[in-house]
Amino acid sequence: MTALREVAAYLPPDRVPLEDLAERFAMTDRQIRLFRRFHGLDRICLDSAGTLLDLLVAATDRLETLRGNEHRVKYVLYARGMPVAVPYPHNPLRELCVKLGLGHALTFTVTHQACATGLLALDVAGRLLASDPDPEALALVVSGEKTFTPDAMLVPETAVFGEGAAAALVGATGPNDRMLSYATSVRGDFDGRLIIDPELALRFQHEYPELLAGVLLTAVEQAGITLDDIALLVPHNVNSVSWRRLAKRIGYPVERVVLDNVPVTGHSFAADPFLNYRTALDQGRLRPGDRYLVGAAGLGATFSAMVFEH
Amino acid sequence: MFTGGPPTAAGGRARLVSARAKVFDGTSPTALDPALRPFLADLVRPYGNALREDLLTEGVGHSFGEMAEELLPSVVGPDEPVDLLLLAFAMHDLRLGRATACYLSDRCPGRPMAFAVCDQGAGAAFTALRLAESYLTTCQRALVFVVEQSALHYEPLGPAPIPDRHTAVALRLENHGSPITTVQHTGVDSLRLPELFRAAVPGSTRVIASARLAGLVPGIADVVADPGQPYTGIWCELAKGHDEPVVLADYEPAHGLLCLSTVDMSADVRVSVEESAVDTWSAAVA
Repeated sequence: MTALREVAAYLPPDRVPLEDLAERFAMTDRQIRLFRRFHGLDRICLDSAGTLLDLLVAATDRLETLRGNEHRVKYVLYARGMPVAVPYPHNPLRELCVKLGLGHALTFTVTHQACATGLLALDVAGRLLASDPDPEALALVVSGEKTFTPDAMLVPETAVFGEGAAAALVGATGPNDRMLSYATSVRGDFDGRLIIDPELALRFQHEYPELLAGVLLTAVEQAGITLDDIALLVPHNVNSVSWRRLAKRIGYPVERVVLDNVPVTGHSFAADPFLNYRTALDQGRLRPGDRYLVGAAGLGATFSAMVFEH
Repeated sequence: MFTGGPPTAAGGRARLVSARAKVFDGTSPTALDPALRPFLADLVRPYGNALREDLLTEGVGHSFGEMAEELLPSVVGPDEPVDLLLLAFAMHDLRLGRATACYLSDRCPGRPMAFAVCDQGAGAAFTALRLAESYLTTCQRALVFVVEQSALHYEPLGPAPIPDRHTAVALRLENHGSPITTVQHTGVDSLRLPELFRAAVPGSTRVIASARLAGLVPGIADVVADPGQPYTGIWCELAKGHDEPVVLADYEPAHGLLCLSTVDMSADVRVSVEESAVDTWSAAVA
């Protein structure tokens, strides 16, 4: 049963107020007011001087159990939200592996599920590990991206992207954080650029709650439990208001949705579920045996949810 | 909606049902999309690559989505729902911001679970096949698209293969058909490559190898794929049809990765090859 062995988070120290990003992210005063007052955003976490490799290195450096276990890491997956992020043939993931002494690992990127790709990478890692003859084999899943272009800065009326990063060591089995279920819905009818297509953006906003609620509830059912058994909901950091509404829609207590990072990090692409899991763990909000629900949605569009047992 | 519990070991149940390849002439309308240049400029700015203004003005290149979409009806009918769709590529698409696997899911019967595998050079197609095998333990039908297009609108900062044409290959996999097994050896340097290859592949087996691998280990290949198709060439050769087991082999030096897929096309195999004036190949295995 796929299990998280350790999750590390890196949030760059630069917390930039929305107003200071107005020019770079092409935000109007009205948009900033909307993000701040309605969506609950305040500051965005940016690694202004750092590269993508720097981000990923910072996250993996925070893993306490990677050192000494490099030989067990057979797979390294980059969960990337943006379909393209660096010029060909530049490969920061491969550079990361060489730097970490993981040159022997099978190394690749999974993408095209945007900000739901983090959960996809866990499923893929679990599949590779389940088929690996070595029960001690591990997979390393990394996530985190640069806000390098308008499509990677802003979702109109919805979210502002930030540059947090995460690293997760995954095993085929393990005593902690075992994955119980996975549900994902790919909806390619939302193909397009919301930033230039207001009609598509409106339809996406309209259908988003029902589609995300659908995978959340299906993942819970697939795990053989009910929503009452879910101790925490670990979301992606799109904004606060949409998760508050979603919690109300499915009848889940909003105080048990981990929204602490939304005002201070921005939406860190596919890394959010890992960042918020780490926050919940550090705050002592997960007890042994707790089941928790992780949810994420990505442009394009994909809606995904997983249930874990801590 | 795709649902699953904890994954189980792949059961070796992947079977190749059909393989179709097509080389595309022309360009995608995306090549003249005004959004292309600013995205490319943002992409290369931190790294210092020079943009190819000549290519941007000329409007060249193709879109993975458009190419794969055109192949779709040739591999699945409207009443044949697909559970999983994988897109494998090395050099990126012309349409930079699109989640093309999602787009293709919407065009595919069954609206399958879909994602892309990349940043692994020639290894991505093999990884996609391994993953398809894993998902086929709980689902019935998967499509793997291997795609490449020839336009790179900036100067690359390091040596890397650049295709000389636009090609898409579609592989249909199910639980019934011709068995296909994929093995990937990591940590393989070029010195160890010949010995490992000869140990892994029986001497009597017909080998389809990339030009890259055939150059490093001379004499191993019965068929050498076109070097102008660095990432789709061997899969194009597969789609030409064979009446015996074949091994598709490639080596990705930057990853130290030797990849081998064995397809037993000798039993219950009907092969048809169609070649048009515009270099279109197809083979169907029933």
